[in-house]
Amino acid sequence: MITFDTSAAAHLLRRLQFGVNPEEIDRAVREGLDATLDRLFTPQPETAEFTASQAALRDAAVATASIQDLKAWWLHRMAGTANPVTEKVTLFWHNHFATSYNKVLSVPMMTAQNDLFRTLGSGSFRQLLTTVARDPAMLVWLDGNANRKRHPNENFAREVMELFALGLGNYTERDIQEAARAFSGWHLREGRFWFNDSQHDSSDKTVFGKTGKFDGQAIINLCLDHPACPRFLAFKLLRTFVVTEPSPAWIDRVAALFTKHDLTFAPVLKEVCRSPEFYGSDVRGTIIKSPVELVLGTLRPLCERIRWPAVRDLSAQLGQDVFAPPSVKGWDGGRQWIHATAWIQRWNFLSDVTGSERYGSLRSEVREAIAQQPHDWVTALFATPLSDTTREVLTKAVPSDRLSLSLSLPEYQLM
Amino acid sequence: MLFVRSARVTVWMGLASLTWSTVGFCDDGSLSERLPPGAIAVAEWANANALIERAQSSPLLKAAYESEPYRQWTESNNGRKFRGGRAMLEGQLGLNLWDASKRVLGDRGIVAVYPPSEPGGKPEGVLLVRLADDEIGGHLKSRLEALIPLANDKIKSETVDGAWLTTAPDGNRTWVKDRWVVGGTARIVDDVRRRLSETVTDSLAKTLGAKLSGAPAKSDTIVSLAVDPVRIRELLGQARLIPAKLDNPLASLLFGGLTEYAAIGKDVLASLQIRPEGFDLKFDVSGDAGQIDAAHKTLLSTQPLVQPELLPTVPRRLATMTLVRDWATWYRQRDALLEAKVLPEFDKFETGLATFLPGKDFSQDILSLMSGPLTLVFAEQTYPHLPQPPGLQLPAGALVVSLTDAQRGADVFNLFIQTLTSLTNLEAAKQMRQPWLTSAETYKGVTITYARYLEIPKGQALPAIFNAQPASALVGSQYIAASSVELCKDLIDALQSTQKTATTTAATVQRNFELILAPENAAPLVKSNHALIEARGVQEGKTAEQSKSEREFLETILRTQKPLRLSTDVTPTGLTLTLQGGWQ
Repeated sequence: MITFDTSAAAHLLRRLQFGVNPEEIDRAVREGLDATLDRLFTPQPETAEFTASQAALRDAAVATASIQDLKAWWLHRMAGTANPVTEKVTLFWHNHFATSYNKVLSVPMMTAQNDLFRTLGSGSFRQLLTTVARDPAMLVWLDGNANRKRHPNENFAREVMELFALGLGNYTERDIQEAARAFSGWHLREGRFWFNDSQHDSSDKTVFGKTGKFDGQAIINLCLDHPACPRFLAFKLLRTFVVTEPSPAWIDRVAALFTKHDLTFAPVLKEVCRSPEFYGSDVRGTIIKSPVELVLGTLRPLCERIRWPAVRDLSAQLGQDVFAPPSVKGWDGGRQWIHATAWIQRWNFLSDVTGSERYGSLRSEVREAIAQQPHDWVTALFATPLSDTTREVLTKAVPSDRLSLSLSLPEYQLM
Repeated sequence: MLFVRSARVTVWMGLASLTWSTVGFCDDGSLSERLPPGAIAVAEWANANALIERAQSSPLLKAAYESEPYRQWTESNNGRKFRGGRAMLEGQLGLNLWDASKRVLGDRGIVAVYPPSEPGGKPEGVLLVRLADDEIGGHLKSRLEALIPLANDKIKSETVDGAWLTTAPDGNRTWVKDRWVVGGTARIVDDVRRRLSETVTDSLAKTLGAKLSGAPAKSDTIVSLAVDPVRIRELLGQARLIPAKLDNPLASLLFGGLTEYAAIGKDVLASLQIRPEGFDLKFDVSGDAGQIDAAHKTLLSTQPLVQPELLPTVPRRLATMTLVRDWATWYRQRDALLEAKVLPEFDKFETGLATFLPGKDFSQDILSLMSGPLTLVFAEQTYPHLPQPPGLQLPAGALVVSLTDAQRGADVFNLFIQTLTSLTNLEAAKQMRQPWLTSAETYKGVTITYARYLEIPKGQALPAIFNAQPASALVGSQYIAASSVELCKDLIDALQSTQKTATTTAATVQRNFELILAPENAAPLVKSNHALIEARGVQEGKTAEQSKSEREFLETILRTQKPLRLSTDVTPTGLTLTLQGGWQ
């Protein structure tokens, strides 16, 4: 039985969008859990202002072919959209299929891949993996054109098993070598996927103990039908949206949901968010906010006139440079987000939010509301209950200092 | 406190313009006739009324008032302070600031600076203003007199011979009578008072004032300035006021000749004439060309001007800049023109250039091929070579140089472009961009060598690199290197037209430098790139609507501007710098 009170509603919203404010919490409580989930997982109409702004930013990024402009566009989109779950899921797949502009060097390709995650991310993983395998940015990233009949390149075959579908321990080196031959000839030509028949090895391959004249799609299907696939997806979903170290039993339960929904993502995530475990005290406040979650989750509810180039640069400095993950493994996350330098930068950012207009202008109504009604904002800002001592300090503080004090607490780094 | 400070300011502004007698005084000669001789600098204005009225009715000002940025500014702290201060001042004056400006400053005025009366003292100055009408003085006096006590008795106020005399603690004073206002150091103010009521034989009009411009037409405003640099150098005990070596190579190249003349010149004169349709700002520096050293002479080369501009205009022109220099000698003499700290940059430049022109010396093998004018041209593009314009539309640019040996020069410059194209193709391959192929076509008898794209993507906004399609051509001894075939063809038209004109027209002046900006032609470019410009606003936290409004305001401003021209002409006895502009 789930008690969907303000605390539970705030927890749900923190996990499914970037930051939360008291009005959003009140609305969720009023609607109830099921209606709130239905709303969050159903496409909502965007505002005219958001549509116009994001179109201008996207057009500018395409026109200038500037990845910096594209980063600003996506961050603006994450913070401004009426469909935050879609953007969270897009960010999830960007980390899962981590592809960096630093090697791809093409803004149109990175844009197309990002659109792909947005369009297919909530749907069937079968379709998503099949499409990603032919995605131009991925083909550049994992050296598709270097995979030739007589000189197979194992990059994509290895990552499709290790990082995309199965996880370590569910395949052998022999499987990778054989799969690489199946992907030979999956090339990029004139910026598009092209099956280069002359470079494809059409001989027999043996993968996962099965033998046949497998091509790349056949290998993808073998991976998708592998029993490790739903378990791998379950682990990734839980680690990102629920808890840093999910128990094997919980992974099994979510894997069963993936099997039940034929590897379709959104229904599984929705069911996880409806489960009592999701609201357990051992789940709330256990995830360290990623830089994007910290920065957007702070600016979206608190600020207006957000300066996107500064936000983009800050996110990169904090360790999450969107469109440029550090490796094919993506961002490790968790405790890796917090190191000595990053901690100081995080604190400086939160100090700037209340003390300068470097990243945006603090909404006057927010400063006033926090000074007058701090309790509402404590629920929105903190994923875990504050100690009595901390509450007392905040209550006794000069009203105008309450927000900066709140943001400086270690508890604010958790979600 | 704020009120008291504001009131003090208002008192001084009022005193500076006050009159309380009805005795008229009419004189259409230069006000320098009323100033004592000996000034080292003097500036006079006449008929400022025409300028103020024009500014007041300007469509540009109207557009600014109606713009979103202005609306936002008026709602900001500074905007609110400005509006409050203006309302308070206008309330005290009983006039709006436009009317007050016209009636106080709208007729004539003069400012002069004199050497210190004692060795080691500060320079002295005087301001003489003739008010625009007989009533304004009395009106202001009646509104401002009561505010004098707010200055805490620090300003001494008295009536002397029917005039109102005020003296500040530092000795500066203001004298007001009839339509005259005189302000400045006490000694000179008293001298001017005497000259306003007596006939005197000597005056500034017979010395430095004689070099000021005459009275303008009724609809024009004129401001003129005369400086005596010889006397200033004497007073300062320095042989020159501007160093011979500059620390900015570009500034040296552009204006090194002008600054050298100014450093050693005999007279520096300036005039600003504002007409209904535009303005002319002119600086004349006279001096002895024989005193200019060989290094600076390289910056004072000229080209005879046989038509309004050195290079006829090309369609959709945004800017043209022509420099006439003795290029090879200039480069060899750079040690005498530039400070030592910037010279190593030239060595780095030469090292980098070796990549494109291996085995060539920049001065001996390249600059020696150039003689006289070097012109840079920028113009909007229409992209006839593309199925659709790029997402980011950039102006086309071109370089036009005069060659001493046309064919040899063209070969060297073509080698440079071919190497650049090859290197660019290598980079294009790395970044999966379309490479360039070298092609050629003939246009009006001239062979154009250009780079074309192997293939052009369809169905999407083209990347910005598609703005460029390098092209080169040789027209007579003029070599063109352009970033687009379209501009290259336009320049061929322009140069062929120049050659026809040159054979039939006599030169009027000797032009040394010419810069022409055409802001109105930038308006379509702003419109074409509206998405990008508006996106920059959104990136800075503005709404899409705000960004659009600001972009439209920018377009409006650009459309009201006529071409701006800056030029220098050189004669055996001096140099003239002229800035001309216009508005709708």
